[in-house]
Amino acid sequence: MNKDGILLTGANGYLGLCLSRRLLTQSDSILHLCLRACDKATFEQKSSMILSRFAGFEKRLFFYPVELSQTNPFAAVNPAAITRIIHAAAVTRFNVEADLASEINIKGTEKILDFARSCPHLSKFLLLSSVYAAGLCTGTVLEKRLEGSSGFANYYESSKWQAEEELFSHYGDLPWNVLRIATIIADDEHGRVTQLNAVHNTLKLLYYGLLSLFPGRQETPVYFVTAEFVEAATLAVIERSELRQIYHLCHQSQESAKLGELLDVVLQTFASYADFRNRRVLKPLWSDQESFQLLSEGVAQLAAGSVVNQAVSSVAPFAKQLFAGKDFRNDNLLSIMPDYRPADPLVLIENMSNYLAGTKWGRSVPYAS
Amino acid sequence: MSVYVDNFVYSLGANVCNLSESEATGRLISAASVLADSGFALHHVCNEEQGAYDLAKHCAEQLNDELDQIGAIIYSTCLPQNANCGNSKKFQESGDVKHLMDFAASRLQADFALENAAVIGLNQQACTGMLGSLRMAKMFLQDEPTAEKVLCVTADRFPAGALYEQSYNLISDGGAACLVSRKPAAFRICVSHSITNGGLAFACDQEVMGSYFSYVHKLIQESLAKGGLTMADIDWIVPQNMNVKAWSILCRLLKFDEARVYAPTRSQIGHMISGDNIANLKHLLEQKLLRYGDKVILIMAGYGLNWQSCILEYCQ
Repeated sequence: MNKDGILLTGANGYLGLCLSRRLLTQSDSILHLCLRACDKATFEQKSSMILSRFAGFEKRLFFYPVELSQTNPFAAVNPAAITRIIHAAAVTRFNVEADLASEINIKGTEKILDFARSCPHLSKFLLLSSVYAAGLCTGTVLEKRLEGSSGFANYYESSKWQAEEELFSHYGDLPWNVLRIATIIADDEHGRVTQLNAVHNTLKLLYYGLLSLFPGRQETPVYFVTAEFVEAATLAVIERSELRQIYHLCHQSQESAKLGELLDVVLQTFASYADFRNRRVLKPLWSDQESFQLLSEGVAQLAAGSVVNQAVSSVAPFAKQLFAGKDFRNDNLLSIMPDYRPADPLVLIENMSNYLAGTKWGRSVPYAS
Repeated sequence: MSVYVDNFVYSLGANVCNLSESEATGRLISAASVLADSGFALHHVCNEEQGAYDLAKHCAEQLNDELDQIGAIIYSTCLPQNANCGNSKKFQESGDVKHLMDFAASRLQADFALENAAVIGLNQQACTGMLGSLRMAKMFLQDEPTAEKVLCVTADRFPAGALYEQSYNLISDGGAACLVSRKPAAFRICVSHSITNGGLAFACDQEVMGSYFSYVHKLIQESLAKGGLTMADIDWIVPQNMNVKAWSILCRLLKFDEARVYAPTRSQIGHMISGDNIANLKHLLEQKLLRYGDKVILIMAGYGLNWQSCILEYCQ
């Protein structure tokens, strides 16, 4: 029996599936996949879906139903079989409610950390965090413990920071690594999008002419990565990291697009589609935080159940972040990733915009495998 | 050649309704409380006997003493059917399309004996029709040396069964009128400007809302540029009656003092279709808030989608 057993939480999520595929194809590890499932039927449906997706790897896959909100959610997992843990489970919506963020992102992390302590052969614990754990601070952000003193744009950000703090403060003895991941905007550099997030939903608003104000500063860098990059970087951390180091899974500011460039490239790309061009949608106006807040309140009041409100309320929770320019450093990552190569950010944005507009946000293609 | 505008009047539907009443009778889409928070309170609905032409006629009656030397009538309606006083039932019975061409503007000419007036109907600019009329009136006077005045009139009555809420605005049936002349009067017409985006001709309410800020901003910037002006030159904005928050946002974007956005009729009238600017301008004059040389920009957005503006200079 292969002694290397990797426990992956959030395995049925987008990133979990990406990492599973990478680990199956580029390692010999046994994967212990924790699937979020509230009942047996859901668990079986999810495990069947993964088995069919990873046909040929059945002998290396074990599944566990895990609800992080429950007491002792990892009771079914044998700690002795686990040598590495990747904690990917989280609620990643920017508009996540405070209670849910606390329950899953903070307390859920405590539970997996407790479980990690019980694993006698554990050699590595990877906490997948977010670059937005840095909150609303501006300027250089090193791959170090964050102060958290500048506040946060939303509960997602603060919960990711608190989860890191939980690890540093109470589980520092574990063989940990923290991976702060930037926003994943595409599966790969070709721009294919399997999972829509707040960025894609915002672009959808633009495409349909529903957003005439855009919050933020044009010069704010936007940190985008592909899932392919995150997979490769995570594998590098698994294989080559120094213990108790933090890694920024993002590109540097000079390798990233600015918010103004993002908007220009997106609108230029959309302009090649007749249905967008014919509506003569104007470039949105740059708005300050207060104006966008007024818009959010107004739309919420007037058009509570509308698509506009859904979309504006998905933008609003991270709007503050678009005013807080940061310079993320990734020196630690560079030291363990000799083949590091940033994608051309504008080409990636163009490819992603083409994919979104060409598939009408994924509606015209089957669910990506 | 300078052209001036003055003599602002308006007329409203006979029945005054509050939000709760209209909510109860199914005239609204939004909850009454939501429209109240938007700054609306009352609106005016025509009774069964009152048609759009009656509103226009009432406006003209208020100007009766000034209707000499009218060189043209420019009669705008938001709803094209309000330009026809004919009976559609008679058309259905006879198949004769003349019943669809009983033009309100012609009636107005006849009822007020404006025999020398050219008659122009304008009915594809929605709520921006009155500002379109001002623009056309100026062009008419500049092109017709013998014409002294143009009567600009607009009137709309929603058909029976219509909702009285459009794009989140509370609607009133109403008419408005003013006189454009070559003789110096209250305001000199400095700049007229319009934008039409036919690509959004049948925009849903959400698209109307979605396009509003960027297009109004563009309209204002282009209007200012046309007149060699900047926002600092503008003393007052007289807008259409709409959600109070919209202008809070626009003022931030334009760096304009929100206290100088003048829409005192919002709560008592609502959006009286093409006549809001005229009603608000009339009140601005009556309140004697203007100083000689003040520049006022009138702004209106309407289906089509149309956006129009007019920059005026106070001359008294």
